[in-house]
Amino acid sequence: MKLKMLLIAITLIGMANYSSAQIVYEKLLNDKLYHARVKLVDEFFNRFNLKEYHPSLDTTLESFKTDNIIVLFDYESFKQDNHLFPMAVEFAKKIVNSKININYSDTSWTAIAKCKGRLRNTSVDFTLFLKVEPRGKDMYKWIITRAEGEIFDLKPEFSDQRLMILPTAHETNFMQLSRITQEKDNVILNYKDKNVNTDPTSVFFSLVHYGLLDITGVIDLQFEFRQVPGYVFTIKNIDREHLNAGWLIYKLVKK
Amino acid sequence: MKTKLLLTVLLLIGIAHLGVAQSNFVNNEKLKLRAAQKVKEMTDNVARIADKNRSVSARQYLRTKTLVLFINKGEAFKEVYDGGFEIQREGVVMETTSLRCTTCDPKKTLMTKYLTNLINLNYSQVKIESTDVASMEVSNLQKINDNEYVCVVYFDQAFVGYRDGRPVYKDITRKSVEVHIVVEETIDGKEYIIRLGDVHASDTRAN
Repeated sequence: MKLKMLLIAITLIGMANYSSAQIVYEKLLNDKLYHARVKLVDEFFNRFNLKEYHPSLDTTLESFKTDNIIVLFDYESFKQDNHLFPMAVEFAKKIVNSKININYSDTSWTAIAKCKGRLRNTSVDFTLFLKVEPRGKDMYKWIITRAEGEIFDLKPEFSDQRLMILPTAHETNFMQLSRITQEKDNVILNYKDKNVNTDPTSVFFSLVHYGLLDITGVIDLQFEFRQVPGYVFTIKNIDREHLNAGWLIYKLVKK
Repeated sequence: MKTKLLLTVLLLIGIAHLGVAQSNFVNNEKLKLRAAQKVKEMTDNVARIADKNRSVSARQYLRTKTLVLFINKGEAFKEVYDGGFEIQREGVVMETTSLRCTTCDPKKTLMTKYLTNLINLNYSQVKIESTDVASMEVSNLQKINDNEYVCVVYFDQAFVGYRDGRPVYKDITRKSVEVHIVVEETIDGKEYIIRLGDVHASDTRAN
């Protein structure tokens, strides 16, 4: 009897251990949230152009096309009780009524990439602006149109009237030019024509060209669109566990 | 009679053009599906490589098999241009993020190293789950050269690390992969050579 009880106990303990050793894998990904999210910029284009719809919308409703545009807005910035919401609704109605489309090949949308980089051994931040440019039949590429950042706004460390190329320098073959570029580089702007301005974008290209500046990553990316007459809107990737997530309009300006 | 003939000819020309347009459309959707399938192959292999239930040698074999999916098998290579100019290209990169540092920028690891790291993860068990192929979001194909295209495939990836049967780390990361497609004409018709490029990690959150 005792042996029987012992065997039963051992069996029960064994079963319990077996159960805990088995890791029960539940499904980890949420399909509903995944399908609602605007996952790619291309998907934003498709939803904006009414080629695809938010999966939660009732497509039998008369308002579903306008609703499809409205749900492309970041609800936190354009809440229904917010003063910006009526502007979003007006914008959505204009898109639908005027059948306005946005296209990848348009020249009126801009990528705004906030970059992190290394200038020699120093960590730096700056922004690059990019546009799409055609390069043959049905082929495109992104091009850098502008650079912005404190590191490109060249300013001399200090200015002083005595910092000059001497009026007699022409008689010594301008040998002073060697001095001004070797003795202290960052006051060079003291020697320029006051009517000549440095261009930040050229400074960016020069620094990269000479191996002085590297981009280590893009820390924020937004896209600004000017295709809708009277409006400028900006999208960015808003990640959250919500049916309103992904590439969404977070800024809308009426011109 | 003449009018009837003219209408018939116009109709036939229209049908011919419709056939061409439709075949281009079918090819694009077919290529996008092939791209997603290739990415799914990668994500399935990643899950298997991390699976501690498999032997190390089996997982190393899978690592080698997975690298074949990538440009130049994930290795660095020289790209040669007209005039004999060369650029040394580093190997394919996998970006990773972690809940242990949400303010950190995504870490870039060479794919060759990333897959090795997966084999050596310091957990007793690992579960990786990715979006199924039918749900992967594929961008439009962009032509970059004659017979060469590029697109991006987006998916979610959930990661759970276990110690002694208990989950000690869980996250979900949004990922997007560059996919390069070269279309070659062969005697048997079109052949698609698909290779994966860099993998971007856009966000990580708790599972």
